[in-house]
Amino acid sequence: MKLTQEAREVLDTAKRHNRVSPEEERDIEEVVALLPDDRSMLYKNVDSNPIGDFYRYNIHIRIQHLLIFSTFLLLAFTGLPIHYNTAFWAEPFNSVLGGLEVTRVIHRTLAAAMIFAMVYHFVTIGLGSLLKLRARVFELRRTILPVWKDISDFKEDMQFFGGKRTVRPEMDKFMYKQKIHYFAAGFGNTVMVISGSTFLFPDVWASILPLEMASHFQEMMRLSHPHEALLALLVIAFWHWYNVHLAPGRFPMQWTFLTGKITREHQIEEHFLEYLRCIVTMPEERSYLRKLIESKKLWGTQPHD
Amino acid sequence: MRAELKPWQKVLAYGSLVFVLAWTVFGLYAIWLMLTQG
Repeated sequence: MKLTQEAREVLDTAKRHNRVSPEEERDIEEVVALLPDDRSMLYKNVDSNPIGDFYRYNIHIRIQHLLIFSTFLLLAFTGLPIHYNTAFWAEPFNSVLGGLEVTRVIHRTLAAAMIFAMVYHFVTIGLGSLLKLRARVFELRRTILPVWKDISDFKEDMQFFGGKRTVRPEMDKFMYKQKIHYFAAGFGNTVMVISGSTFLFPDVWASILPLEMASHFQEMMRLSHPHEALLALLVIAFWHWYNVHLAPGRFPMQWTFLTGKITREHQIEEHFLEYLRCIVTMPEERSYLRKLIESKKLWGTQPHD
Repeated sequence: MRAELKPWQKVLAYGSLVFVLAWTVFGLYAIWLMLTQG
């Protein structure tokens, strides 16, 4: 396989960060040279464990996801009967929980748990990045932060889905879609926390804001809270759940949120640059690839375009 | 080529799928509420 400049940089950086020996380096380069240029031949032929082959998320990120999704669902489940408290179904629902006031307390407690998960997340990524910086192995392109390459990845992926390309672009640990989703969730959570806090502490916000703005702000936040909640519910149901449950290759469920691992075929298809790092760090993966390419005669397969 | 899921894995995966689809119905109901009751 002829590596692109981006892929070459990733491979060389991974070799440097992992201080590979000359023998290992030779082995890595030989295996990479054997890879078919048509990457789809690779991800369509590899063996994958459905619950995951390669390490992707540590235990902290998985706990944060569990905290965020459980509090999110319960917040939606308690928020709706608070907002529509006079609806025929809301009154019995609130009564079961002990009355509207109790539903509100539950809702606020869940909100506090969600804010805790957000803080926990920032501490994790902040400390994780600091440790990597100290060890001199930090790579900006491997983070969730947007980079210029995401624009060309997006363009090339659209060309692939439109039938103009035969292979997906070579994307890193986080692809453009995940970055959009992550920052949309971050924005949504911020709106929910700020707007929710104006219901709980209106006097504090009134004391902070200029007098002529305070009332308008309160009204705006009162509108934002339920509408942003509904938007979040729609994004989760029709975008996130499609991508992790229904999308071809993921059905019936992607296990990463539980096991922290990604399947081999998924890693090669959507996160090829991260897969190159696996080739560098895992000698057993190089042996596997040699056997696979030999047995299926995959070397030299070219893309059609 | 993905290996087959074990029976307990199928229960978990399809159970989760049913759960999120049920939530999607709930989301559609929430839209209807928002459109009809503001």
